[in-house]
Formats: sequence, C-alpha cells, structure tokens
Amino acid sequence: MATSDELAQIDISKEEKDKLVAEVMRYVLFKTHQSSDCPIKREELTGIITKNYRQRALPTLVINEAKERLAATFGYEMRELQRTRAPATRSGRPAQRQFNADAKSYVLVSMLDPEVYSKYVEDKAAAHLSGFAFAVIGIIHLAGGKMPEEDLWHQLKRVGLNETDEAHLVLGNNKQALEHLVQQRYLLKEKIAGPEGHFVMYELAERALDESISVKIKDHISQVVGTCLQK
Amino acid sequence: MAGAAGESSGERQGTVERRMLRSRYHAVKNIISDERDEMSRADSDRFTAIIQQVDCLHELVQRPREQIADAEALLGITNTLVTSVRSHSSEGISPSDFITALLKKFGQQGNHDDESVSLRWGDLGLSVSHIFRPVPGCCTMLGPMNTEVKQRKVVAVGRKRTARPTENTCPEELAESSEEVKTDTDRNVLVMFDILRRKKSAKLENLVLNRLSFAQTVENVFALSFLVKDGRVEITVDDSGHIVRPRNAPAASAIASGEVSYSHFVFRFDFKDWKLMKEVVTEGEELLPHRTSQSNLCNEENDQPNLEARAQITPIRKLTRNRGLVLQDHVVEETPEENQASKRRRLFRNQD
Repeated sequence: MATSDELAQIDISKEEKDKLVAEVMRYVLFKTHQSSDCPIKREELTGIITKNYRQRALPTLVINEAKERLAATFGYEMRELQRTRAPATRSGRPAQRQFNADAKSYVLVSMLDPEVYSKYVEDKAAAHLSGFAFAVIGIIHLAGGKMPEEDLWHQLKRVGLNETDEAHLVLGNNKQALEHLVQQRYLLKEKIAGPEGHFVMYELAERALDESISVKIKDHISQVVGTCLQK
Repeated sequence: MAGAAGESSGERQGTVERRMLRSRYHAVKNIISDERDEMSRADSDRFTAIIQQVDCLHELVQRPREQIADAEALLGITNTLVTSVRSHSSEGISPSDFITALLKKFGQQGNHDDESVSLRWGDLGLSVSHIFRPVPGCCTMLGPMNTEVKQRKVVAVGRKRTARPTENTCPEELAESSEEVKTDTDRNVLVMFDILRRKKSAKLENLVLNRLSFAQTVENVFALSFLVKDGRVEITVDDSGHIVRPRNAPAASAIASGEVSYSHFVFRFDFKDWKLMKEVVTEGEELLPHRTSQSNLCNEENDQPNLEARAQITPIRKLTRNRGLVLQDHVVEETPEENQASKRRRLFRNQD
C-alpha cells in the first residue's frame, strides 16, 4: 500500500489513487477474458493512469497496489513478464538474447492450492488447451528450447495433429491453436534465412521461460516419462 | 554423322544418370526426415547406414546441382544430430521419448476408419492445470474495453494529369431560409400570450377550455405550462379560483441569485374534469378560439346542431367492393348517453 508520504510526494489524494487502482484492476480482469489469457502490455495500464495524470512515479505505484489488491481480493497473482528479443546481427545469426526494458507485460495466475484450484476454479471445458500447450512447450524444451516448424509438426503428427487439419475434433484449427500459443507468449516465432530459403523457427518465449512455469514443466515431463519407463 | 549421334546419346545418358542421382539423394533426405528419432538413438546403427549411403552417392557427384543435393542431405543429418545432442541437457529425454510417454499415458485409438492415434487432450490438460493455473477473467462487461475510434490512414491517391472529358458542374446553392418552422404548440403559446396581454388577467378555466374539443383543451393546458415554465405567466389563487396574469420573464441573474424561484403544482385533468369545466364556464366566455384543420371532417359540417356530438365524430374510411377501389368516407356519430336511454345510437351518413 502507498504511504501518505508517497502520495504527498506525487501530489494525489488517496481517493484518486484508489480510483486509478480500481480502473487498472477492472481493465486487467476484463482484458484477460477478452484476449483469451494473452499478456497485457504495461503501456496499456500506464495509458489508463497517464490519461489524466502526468506524475512520472504514479504508474508504478498504482500497478504495484493493483497487484496487491488482486492478490488479496481475488487470489490472483499479477505476474510481470519481461519480453525477450533476439535482434539479428549482420551475419544473419541472432545475437545473444537481450531483455527489452520497455516490453513488460502482465498475466493473471491463480494463487490457490492445486487441490482447491482443480476443485473450484479449473475450467474443465478449456482443459484441452492447457494439454496442447504442455505438449508443445515440452517438445520444444526437450529439443533444446528451439525447433524448426517442420520438426515440430513431425512430432505433433504422432499424436494425431496435422498442420493442414482445420477441423480437429478437439482443437479445431491446429495451426491457429499453435499461433495462439505465440500470442500468449509461450512461444516465439521467428523467420530465419536458411540454405533452402526461409524457414520458421519456434522457441520458448518469456512466459514459458518464467521460473514458475519452466520448473514445473521440467518436473512434469520427468514424471510423465519416468512413469512410462517404470511400466 | 554416326559419331555425332553417338556423342549426343552419351550426353543424354549423363543427364538421365544425374537425374537418377538427384532422385536418390531426395529419397535419402526423406529417410533422414522420417527416421530422425531412430538415427539419434545410441543403440541404433541407422545413422551408420545412412551416412554410408550418402558417401556412396557422393562419389558419383560431378555437377553443382548434385553437389547441392549432397550438401542438403548432410545438413539434414547434422540438424538431426544437433537436436539429439541438445536433448541430452534434458536428462537425455528426447522429444520422441516424450511423445511416446504421452501416448502411453494419455493415448487413445482414433476412429474405426482411422488407424491414427491421438491424445486425450482434456485429461492431459487436467493433469497439468497446476502448471499454468489460468484464471477466469470477467465476461460481464458492458461495452468494449476501449471506445476510441481508430483513425484510418488516408492514402494519398496520385491524380491523373490528363484533362477530364466531362464538365464539372456544381448544383446551385440556395440561401437558407432564416425563418424556422414553427410547431403547433409554439403558435398556441403565442396566441395564448396575446390574449392574456390584452385581457391583463383571466380565469384559468376560461383560458384553457375548448367546449368543442377535449383534445384541444389538453393542448391549451400544455401551451400554458410552457408560459409558466418560462416565467411569462403567473398563476395565483383567490376566492374566485385560479387567476392567470401575464408578466415579464425574470432575469437570469435573479434566478441564479435565488431571488426568483419557481413553484409547481400538478394539474389533474381528464374527460370528467372537462365535462365539469364546461358546466362551470358560461358558454361564450372561452378565450381561446377553436382551431380548425383542413383534414378535419367535422368542421365542414355546419348543419350539426349538437356541438358535443360534433366533437365526437370519427371518420371511417373503407373500400367498397361494388365500385372497385373507390374510397368512401363514412362518419360514425356517437350521441352522449342520456339518462333514459342506455343504448348508444349509431348514425351512418354518407359523405359523398
């Protein structure tokens, strides 16, 4: 919570600050649903605040308080993601991965215990999307974090997913389902010039590389493969 | 001649051989693509077999096109091995092992016609829900997230330099008429204020009553309400009843300062009240004239003796069958109920 000293420095009343926090919370909640769980850019949130206020320190203050309120009221963690970018060098090879300071975004993640979450919150109707995300992220992770599109579809074909299938019984349009993972920032899609022309390369993006997810994915992969080996 | 023919035949043989060589390379590339998982296994000799096959083909390569095919085959093998090496960082589990494990745990047979295997995606999703923990957002919002209108990019179109064959003509602009169209209510308000200005004061019922029409009486009350609202009229109550007087409208400053304040009262008025009002007001003392309109059929009938009945005439239009599509106007008259007669009489009179 912002102290009275902080508010005095920024020259804003508690009521005004509370209203901004409420607006940010509202925006995050509705936008999460509207954009099907795609990350919300920080600029969008700062835009709500700077529409009527010019104080430089205000957006950080309001966003931090919105995080606290979402956690306390809804049990949602407003997780900050740092977008990664790999700008190509002159030789055409991507340079060392860098972090872009401006490209922060936020996603909502439930803070409930797994048992409570699966019993009361989990959307059973949308579970197949989580399953697909896990399979794709797992494949790319095991391939070293990067994988050509052709190789990815080669692996997915083994589980009945064809690149050309636009009416899969569960996932619908397979290509769109994969594209949705790119929009959700689990994957990064990059066009690379190769000897046979351009080809698409998929790699893990900031959301899949986030500690909270990547560690659990590794553990679950080991668990799935381990149980099969025991059998 | 014969020598030349033999030479061309040898050249053609070379072209066919080269085509065959490229097709064999293509077959090898397909094998590399299909059997990449088998190749990367430590206990498999598939890699050795494929690399030997590529070496054999390499000895036959002479021209650039075949050299490209050879290089592509080697690139395919290299990529497969790179992927295999990368997977060793993940406890030696390859993507292929992972898929195999998923199929064992969550696999299901496809349709009866289809031999392919697929996953129970829902079950897999439920087993990993603790990893992603997506939250249900709110979907009850009224309206879109942001209501800003997106500015369209205006594309500048290069105009042709050539003169157009047709003439450009502009329609003649007419000067706008300064007179605003006045509504019936505006006219009624003006007429009422004129009468009050001349009379100085008048009884409320005398001012608003129209003995011939209940509807016009209501319209008069409506017009009076405008005058009261604008402060052009004041209504006072004394022993004789409600008295209406004209006055100058108060200044805006007087209203703002609170010197002048409006007070309202609710005026209940229905058909019964209108009948009572007609009894109270002496005939001929009504101040506002009866308004006539051209479409009103009642006004054309000067021979109607009963004024009240005249106010209740309703025109009925009907198509007569015997004369084709000729409109006939019939008028239905209703006489007011009399004490002795409970039955209503209807008189149909042809207007033609």
